[in-house]
Amino acid sequence: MKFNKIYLFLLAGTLVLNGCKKEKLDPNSVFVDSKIEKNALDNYIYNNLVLDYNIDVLYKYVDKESDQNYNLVPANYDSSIRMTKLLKYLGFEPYDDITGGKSFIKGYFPKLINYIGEAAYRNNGTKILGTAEGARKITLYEVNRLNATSGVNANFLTDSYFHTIHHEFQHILNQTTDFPSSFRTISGTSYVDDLWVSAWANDGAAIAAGFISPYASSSDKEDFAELYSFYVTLSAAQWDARLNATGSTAAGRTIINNKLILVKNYMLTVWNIDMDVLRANIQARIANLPNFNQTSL
Amino acid sequence: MKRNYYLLTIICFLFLAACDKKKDRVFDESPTVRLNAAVANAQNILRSKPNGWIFQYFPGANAPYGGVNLFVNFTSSTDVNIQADYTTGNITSSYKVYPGAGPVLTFDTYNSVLDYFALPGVLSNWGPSDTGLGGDIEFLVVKANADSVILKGRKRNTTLVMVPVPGDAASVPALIANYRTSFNRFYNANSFRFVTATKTTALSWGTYNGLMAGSINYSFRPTDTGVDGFQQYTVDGITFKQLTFKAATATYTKGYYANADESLKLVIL
Repeated sequence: MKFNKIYLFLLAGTLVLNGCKKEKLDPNSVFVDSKIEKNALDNYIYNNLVLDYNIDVLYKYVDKESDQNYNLVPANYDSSIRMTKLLKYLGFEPYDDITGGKSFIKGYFPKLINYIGEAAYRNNGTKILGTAEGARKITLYEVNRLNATSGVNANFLTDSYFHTIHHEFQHILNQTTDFPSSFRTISGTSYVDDLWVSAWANDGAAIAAGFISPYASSSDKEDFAELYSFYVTLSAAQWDARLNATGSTAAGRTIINNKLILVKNYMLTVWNIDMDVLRANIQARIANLPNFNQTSL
Repeated sequence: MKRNYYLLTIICFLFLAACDKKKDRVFDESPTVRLNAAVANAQNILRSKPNGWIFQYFPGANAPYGGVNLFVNFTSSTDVNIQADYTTGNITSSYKVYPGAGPVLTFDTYNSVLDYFALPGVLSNWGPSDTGLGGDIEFLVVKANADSVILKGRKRNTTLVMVPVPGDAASVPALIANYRTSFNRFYNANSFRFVTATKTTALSWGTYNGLMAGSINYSFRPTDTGVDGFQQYTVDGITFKQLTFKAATATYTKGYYANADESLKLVIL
């Protein structure tokens, strides 16, 4: 027995010796990135978005950050400049004004914004205009459509880019602090999930059922984000016109307004943002678009 | 006897510890070092031609749509200028070579001359609504040396070749003009037919620059002297790849392309 014990210790010792091989990891990647000279837009993004908001913009196509299921083309340089400047002007600065600093956007806005030149088209010809992934990345499509004319067209900017931006941002705020469950009970069983694509003949039909848009009818989360995004990006007149679209009903408008009260209340109590002040700020910026320089860096 | 088993086990483990495997490497350098070197080499080769390269570009998987010539000049570590035979556009955009499965060349901002082939069909009006002509914008650099660069499209897997633009800088505009004339001659033809000693085969236009004989696809790239096939084709027992343009004759009023002994003609109609 005595011998056995000694051997056992020896055996254990050998095992420990075998396991004990420390290797230090090099913090640098073994792959050297080729030196890329920074251009004016690179510098603008670094100085204005990365440093101020901790948000990076990929205006050059990076395949692993892009949706491989579609045929995508890169954004062009000139449109990327416009998009980046407008993003700051119409997307971030309204929140800075309302909250009194950059920390709100810095703290909550997705960290990566990916530009794609044209929309992602499905084989039936329908297209995707914007996507968000895991509160970390927003992909904006059709950036190449942005030019001197479309760049001052508020409806185009809202429909193509900023509706998506505010919508996705609202999801992230909801993930941080959930909205009150009483919101869910208002439209309760009316949500149609994936059938939102075919459930409504037009926007008016969705309004009649109490949804600000067909997509809002897919779930309470989307409903909440759609209400928020439409409200802050549309002028009072546009909002009213939307609520009174052909096919809409007073009953539907009442449901929407009841839900809107909860959305406004949530933004005010949880985030200290008055949606009417935010909307006024965005509208003032839209009115000033012709004077805003989108091309200088 | 029992203790001997322990002894054996310990000896076994000692052997394991002693056995520091160091196989002889096939290559002297580690894969990482070699990949970094390959990326640097590809970058250097691409930039080494002041006149740039003729990119013999065939869009789509297996290249069913014919080909074009892109005149690609890598003017700085980020900028690339692209002209082509199919359009008069002259556009500068950006590129990058980065490590992937090998060096990967990506044209990473929009260049309408190249990206025309990558646009969804809804926008280019060619091919299926989503894939369009299926042109690649990212390429694996399979081989890069001073004479040619062999690229493989990352999405469609089509192997493509770049060769240096010949001549000096002053002759480049004339060369490109020549290619454009040649392209238009081919592209504007109503249709074609193959003519051999014994047989005539009617050809009709497929998608973009592709030709069809019934269900058989022929994919040609117009060159300054004639046309070049994406691969070798055999018609009526005659195998060919390159054909030379011959001016109009009394029989062939719009001219024709022919192989060396003129046993096969691609007649313009």
